[in-house]
Amino acid sequence: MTFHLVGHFRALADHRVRYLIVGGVGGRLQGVPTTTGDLDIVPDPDLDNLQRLAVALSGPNTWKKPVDSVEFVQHPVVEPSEFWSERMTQYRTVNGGIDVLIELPGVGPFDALIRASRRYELAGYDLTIHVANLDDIIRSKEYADRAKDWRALDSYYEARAVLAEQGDDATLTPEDLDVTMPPPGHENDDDW
Amino acid sequence: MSAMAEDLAVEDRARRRAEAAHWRAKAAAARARARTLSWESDPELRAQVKAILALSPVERVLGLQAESEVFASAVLIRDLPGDPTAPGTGVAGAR
Repeated sequence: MTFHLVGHFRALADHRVRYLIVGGVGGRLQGVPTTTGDLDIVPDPDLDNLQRLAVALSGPNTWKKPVDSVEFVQHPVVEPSEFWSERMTQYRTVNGGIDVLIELPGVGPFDALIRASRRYELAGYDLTIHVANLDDIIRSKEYADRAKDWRALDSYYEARAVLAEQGDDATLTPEDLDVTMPPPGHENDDDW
Repeated sequence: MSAMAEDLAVEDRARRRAEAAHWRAKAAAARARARTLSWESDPELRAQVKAILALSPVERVLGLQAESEVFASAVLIRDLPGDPTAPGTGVAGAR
């Protein structure tokens, strides 16, 4: 099955979707040496944003896994209400699997995650992605209490320990995003 | 609001409160369980983490994408029809 992560990021960016990456991709971006075959995201639950997300996911090659089913069924038109009613919705698009979580289990919704999130620039692709903090992803895995999560947690704890020691040079800090501000009282000057 | 609608609203609020309490209890149990775990750093895992963090974000993304493709194209050896060296055949060089 295709898994075109950059394609997912591009589609979401093209539709101006605000979201945070969680799950295995979020872990991997922060050093966790495990692999995954789908992208998990927590969108900003603002109605307009969910509408844009629904449009971004919709297409003739979109499939959805209905609740309590193991099979994906064709689902060309995604409705924003699905995200709320099902809490965790699994899709497959031309870019591969993508799971939409209205909140990260055991942690909370977008607003609870954004403050501690990390931001990465994908050089050459003109894309910026936001990833939930590894601590939050770990909490969600502990909360999920699934055997596969417990097996993977050693890798997550290791990454957390390394990040605590050395940080992540690739994360954009506020200083990276700093712009020269006009001096007080000159905010409206044309030169600025 | 009619009496019936009011009753439904009260019921709905009670249901939501009960649900929230359930999830809070579950989160607390998970936190407690996690605290009892003993974890020790593993040098091999640590080396893998450091290798990933040494990559640029794009390399991390493309690496994960490439791994996924490898897994997706993997075929179970026992599914290959007519393979004389399949496991269990006793043929030298069997995988």
